Amino acid sequence: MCEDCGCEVEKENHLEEKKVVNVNKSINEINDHLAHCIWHALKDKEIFCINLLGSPGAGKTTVIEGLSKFISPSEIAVVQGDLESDIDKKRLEESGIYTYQINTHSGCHLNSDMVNKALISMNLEGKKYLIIENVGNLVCPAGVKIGQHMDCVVSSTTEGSDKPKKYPVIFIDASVVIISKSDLIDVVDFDEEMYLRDIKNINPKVRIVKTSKKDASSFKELAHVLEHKREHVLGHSHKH
Amino acid sequence: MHESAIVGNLITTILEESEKLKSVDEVILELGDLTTYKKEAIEFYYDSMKNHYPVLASSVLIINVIPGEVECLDCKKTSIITEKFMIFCPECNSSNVNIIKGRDFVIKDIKEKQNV
Repeated sequence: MCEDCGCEVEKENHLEEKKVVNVNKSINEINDHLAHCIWHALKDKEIFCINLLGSPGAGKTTVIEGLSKFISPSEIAVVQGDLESDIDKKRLEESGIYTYQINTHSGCHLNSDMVNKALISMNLEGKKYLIIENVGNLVCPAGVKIGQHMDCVVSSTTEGSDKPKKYPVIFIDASVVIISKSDLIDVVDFDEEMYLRDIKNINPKVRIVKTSKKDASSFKELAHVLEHKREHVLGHSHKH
Repeated sequence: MHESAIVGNLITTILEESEKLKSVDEVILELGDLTTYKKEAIEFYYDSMKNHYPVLASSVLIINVIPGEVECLDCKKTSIITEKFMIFCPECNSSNVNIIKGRDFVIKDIKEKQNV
């Protein structure tokens, strides 16, 4: 007899009867659906969308400036994500790059709703590249879909060569990792061999490119890599 | 810290899906080991926030952590990776692999205990 209410059912069984709602939904379902729509809409317009990730101060904006020497600024549009300010927007506009600023205030990463609202306000006619410079952060933006065709992580030598081991999750989806500030490799004792080994353990297929603001030509290889990736994604029918 | 935002999403979805229930007693979740979310932080934020919703007040999360699993494109076997974020095939050591499990955070079931 049940000790609680005196009915004939054993107490254990009494509590085991359950009504179940089978949900089977990803927690990010709404975000991911919108990201999927953005992915296709940009592909249809032949605009290659890059999610540019990295720590604050890694040199993400510098990478875009450097690229604009080898890809016409008129073919690049940027969505710039920062908690506050339009400092980077103004910087990029000085290089002739069309830029839309998102201020997330307390938000630690961009999501597909923010990107979608930005895209509604933007004129992307004639653009071949949409670079989304995400909020500087090595954790929160990882794995968040925002409609990008490719993830690109900027990882500077001054942050140290231990970043792949300490923050693996940001590297796992990257197609390209840029080692920025490469002119400082010796100055900061950047252990390149260890860095490359660690990164290949997390993401064996990743392409590594070194850049330096002091050497404008170092962005040429990156421009070629992005052009190749663009053709690969836009030229073939790809599974998302 | 970003778990607080994801727990907000979680609660919204649970409330939508449990409209026909008198109360929610258990929520079964699958949390990929290769996501950026930590089990303990999700539990902490959920317990902090659930009391704002009477239907969830006595509920508990059952979080099953799903380890990273890869499909090897060389030896064709699927295997659980031996170490978190070491993405290669444990069978043949090939790095020519696709990650097939461990990247998602999914709400599986919502349960209500009922009187017999």
